Amino acid sequence: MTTDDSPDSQALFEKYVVPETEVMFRVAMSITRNKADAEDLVQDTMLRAYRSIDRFDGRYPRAWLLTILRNAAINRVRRKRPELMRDPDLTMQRVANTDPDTADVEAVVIDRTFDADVERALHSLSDNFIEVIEMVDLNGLSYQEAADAIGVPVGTVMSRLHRARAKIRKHLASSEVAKGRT
Amino acid sequence: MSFFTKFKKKRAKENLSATAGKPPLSCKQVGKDLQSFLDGETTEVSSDDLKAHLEACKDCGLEADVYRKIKDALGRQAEPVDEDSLHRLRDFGRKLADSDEPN
Repeated sequence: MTTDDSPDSQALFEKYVVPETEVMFRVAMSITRNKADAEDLVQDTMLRAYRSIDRFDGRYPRAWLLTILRNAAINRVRRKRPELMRDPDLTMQRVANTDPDTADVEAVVIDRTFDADVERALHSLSDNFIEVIEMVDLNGLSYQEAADAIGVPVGTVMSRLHRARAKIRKHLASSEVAKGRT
Repeated sequence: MSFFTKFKKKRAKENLSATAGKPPLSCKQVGKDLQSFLDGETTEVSSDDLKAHLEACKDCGLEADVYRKIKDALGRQAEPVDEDSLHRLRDFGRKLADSDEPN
């Protein structure tokens, strides 16, 4: 897919890049933890994609864009202070403040308790584990796409993800035991 | 009896044993591929064999349920995407696509 014809480049950009805006923004949010920075990062990614669209072979546009996004993020971190600020307390507060639905209060309470336990378990993990969980389970990426976004081999994504969920499972089991004792 | 006939008989026996409650895969094999299977990713063993095992083996079936619940709960942790940001970014993308200069 190599052409110097500008209108074709525009069509390719519209076809491959614009539909991936939401995925790029979700991943950018995971990386920057900040809406304004995430928007800047996606805009930067779009500009880079636009400049190199003529060299893109048309295969796996999401993987291509996530690789560009990762490189753009690395450059940004080099330019300014890292923005990887995680605040588990804020998200815990969000869960605690959710209003109950009226349909099945008991199920909602059980779900919410389970979700809060899972969230606690998630934030007890190291950043490498949280990162893959966010990419796959929260952002809905495939293993390959997550590998491209993080910049590690797909086997590493799979191994970290499976270990992370196993740790969450173990955490839940131990908290259940603790609750049973009280 | 030809090799092919023997193979077909063996295969049929395995399938029968799966439906009779004796799964053709070991629990260890299933455990290794379970999370990839639940994620819809490629697995070393066939997904049909995995499904058959999960239906026939109570322990592995429960294990799959736990991981499904964890995966679902993790999915619910995702923050809703800010629609204003998304609108601005799509607008930026379309303007970029409509622009004449690639630099």
